[in-house]
Amino acid sequence: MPIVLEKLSHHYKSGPNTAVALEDIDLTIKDGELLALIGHTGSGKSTLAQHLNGLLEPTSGRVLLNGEDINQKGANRRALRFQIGLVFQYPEHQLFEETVYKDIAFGPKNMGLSEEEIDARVRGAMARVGLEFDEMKDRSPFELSGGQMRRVALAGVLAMQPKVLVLDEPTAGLDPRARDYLLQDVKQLNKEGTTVVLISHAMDEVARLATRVAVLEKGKLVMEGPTDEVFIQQERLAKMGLDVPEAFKLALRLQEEGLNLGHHYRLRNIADGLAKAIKGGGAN
Amino acid sequence: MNGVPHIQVTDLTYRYEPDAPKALDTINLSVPRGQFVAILGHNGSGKSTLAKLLNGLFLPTEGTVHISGMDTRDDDKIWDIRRTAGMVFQNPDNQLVATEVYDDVAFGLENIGVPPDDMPPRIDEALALTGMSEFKNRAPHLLSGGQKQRVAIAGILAMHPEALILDEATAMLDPQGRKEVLQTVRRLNEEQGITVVWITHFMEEATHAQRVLVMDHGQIAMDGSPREIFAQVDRLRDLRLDVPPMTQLARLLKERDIDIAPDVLNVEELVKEVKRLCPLCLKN
Amino acid sequence: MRDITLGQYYPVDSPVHRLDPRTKIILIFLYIIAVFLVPNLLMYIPVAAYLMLAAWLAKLPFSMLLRSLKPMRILLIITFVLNLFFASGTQKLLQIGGFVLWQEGLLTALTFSLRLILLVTGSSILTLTTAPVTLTDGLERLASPLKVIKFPAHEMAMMMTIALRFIPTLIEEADKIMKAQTARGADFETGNLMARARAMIPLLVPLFISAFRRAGDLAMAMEARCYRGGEGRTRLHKLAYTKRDVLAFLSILLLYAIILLPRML
Repeated sequence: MPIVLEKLSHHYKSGPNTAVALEDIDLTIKDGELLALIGHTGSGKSTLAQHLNGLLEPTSGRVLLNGEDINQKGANRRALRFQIGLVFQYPEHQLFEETVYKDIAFGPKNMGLSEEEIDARVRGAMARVGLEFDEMKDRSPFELSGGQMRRVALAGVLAMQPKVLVLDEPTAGLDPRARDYLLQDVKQLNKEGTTVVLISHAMDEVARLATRVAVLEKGKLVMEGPTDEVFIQQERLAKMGLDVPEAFKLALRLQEEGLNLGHHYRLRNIADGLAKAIKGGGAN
Repeated sequence: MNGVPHIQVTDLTYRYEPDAPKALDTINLSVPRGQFVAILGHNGSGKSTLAKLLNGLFLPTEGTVHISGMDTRDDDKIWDIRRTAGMVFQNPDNQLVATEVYDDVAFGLENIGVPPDDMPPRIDEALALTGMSEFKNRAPHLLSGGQKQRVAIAGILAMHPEALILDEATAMLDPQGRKEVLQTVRRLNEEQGITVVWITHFMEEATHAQRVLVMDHGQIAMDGSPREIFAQVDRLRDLRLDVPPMTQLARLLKERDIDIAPDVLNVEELVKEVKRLCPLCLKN
Repeated sequence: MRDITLGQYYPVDSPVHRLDPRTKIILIFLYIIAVFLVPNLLMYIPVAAYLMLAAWLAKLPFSMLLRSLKPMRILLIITFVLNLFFASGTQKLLQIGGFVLWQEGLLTALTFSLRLILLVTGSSILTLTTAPVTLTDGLERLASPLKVIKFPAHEMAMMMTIALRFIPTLIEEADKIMKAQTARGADFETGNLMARARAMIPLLVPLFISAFRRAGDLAMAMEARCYRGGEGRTRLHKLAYTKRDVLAFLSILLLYAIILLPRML
């Protein structure tokens, strides 16, 4: 189910003026990939995300799902939202039900599923995010820790079993361990076939998970390609106020100094390459 | 200054409720004037609780907290303590009370009874120190997260504090905002000699401190310079914390039998180590 | 939602804008009373003239005043029509089928409608020329003598300022929550009144909870900045009466004199 953004533009009124949030975006989100969307705050990432599930309509251009325009007359946008799950930043702020079970069931309920199906979905989603069913299902979401609340919120979207999952800064505010767990879950989901669009400021996260990176700057798509190829362009990214993972910075620094470690930019790969070079005494 | 440490915590124990488990357990801590100390710890380690005890928002269940020799339990001194040790909180929005930046910075001055004619120079100075002068008539909701936090800091600076306590002040900010806030606070520490207690779970931020404390289960588990602390990769992992990526890389190299210094904190230091270990590797 | 002023405040510089907010508040009260003291239809002319003068001095475009009447237009029409045809009287002016138009009816309709128009436009001049925070300040100062009977003037003003500060923030948050719930298939639009009310729960509950959390955080932050209530607080913005305020007071006295003249003669 590829999603294609075709010359997508989004303008909105800001006082007496018209502001441009997105301009002429051409982007394809391939089936099963893990695409990262990066850009400075205000570059339009969140706006773009909201076009993917029809929360926002383009001012011009189209959003195609499996070749069909999702915004055409008569299109069932509500059904769309069950296929393209969108998790906002700090999703725990949207929890509202009396129990964890009920909150996670909200999505499936809106889908009109039977009680048994809803139950299966809730159980599945909770298992997915590491929430113990019997222990947690009757607890109030509001007495949980921040990390647990986030997992409940994520489960709420996963329970809809969307084919595409869009995550806006999923690890914001989490401590290192909670961050790790969440990213592991995301990776696993992607492995099992869910297409993932990850919006993130944390470049190390992006390097860890994404196979492809798209860069937004002032509403325009300025760069796009495999992760390594995007991060190599460190200077260009720096000019946009964007960082690259430390590992990339190091590789580029070493390259400047005459040591080329090849095109691996993950820490382990660098360690391997570097260890080999040092042991070889520079005899290359 | 004189021999009295700026912040003195003696045998501090804190319980949220009389029968609750100890949130803080027999903490002893002495912070000399002008020091920049970072406090790390996983969520629930007690670091935020400690912050609130430092300026008397919470009072000790057992033990004492002294700021510049004043006991936080002393009703007469509590307002002096809060003026001397200002606190910046995690949520940038929930600290600003006024409808305009200028008025918000004045809030603290109004509270401590500063004569109206003395206020403008103090406000202007505080805004200049935080780089927010051009925003003085802006409404808070139009500011970015980093800008809001700097206004919060300005609000405290106007009261002429001697210490700044920042309780995860960057947790909700994007990388740009985090940089702005950290730069501002470092400058205040270096140029104005303000003692800084910086609570965070971002490891990279702690590398800029003179001293790092690691908290776990209500106690201080580690206390030393950033190098001493980050070199202990395994210990930190056990405490559910990360290490800076380059320190991680040094560890990986160590595992590959490279005799690299364990306390490498950033890219430049790692490059230096490579030069040391293998001068011929870096041909340029 | 772009600025604090809720779209009401019209930021230009004029003598009316520069008046002390207390003056304007008091003037509005006196003005409202004046509108009800008008003895006959003719005497609405000086009141209307006073209003126009104030609007002109305040550099307010006429269209802006008309716009302030917009929300009232239905009420205005109903008031006029009801009084026109359903007040009973003695002097018949017109008869259309079963409906009688009495002279008294016409006079009453005109009186009530005029009153409504003058009251609404007069109040708008207040809100158009005074920033909400300044208004709050003025109310606080005026109410402070009431502290003797323990009226919490300062606390109320503080609450109002904070509310004003957070309105845009809360609106943004409500928007976010609505989007998040919509992304889970919530439907805020279809259905009858009951269904739509129930659909608001996923929006209102998180909003309330977040508002309470904000309040708690804010209280702590205020305490950390040495806030301890109104005692001993100084104020950055000083309010002071000037010649302009004296003139304004004199002007309303003049209006009273003109309106009450026929009664006294």
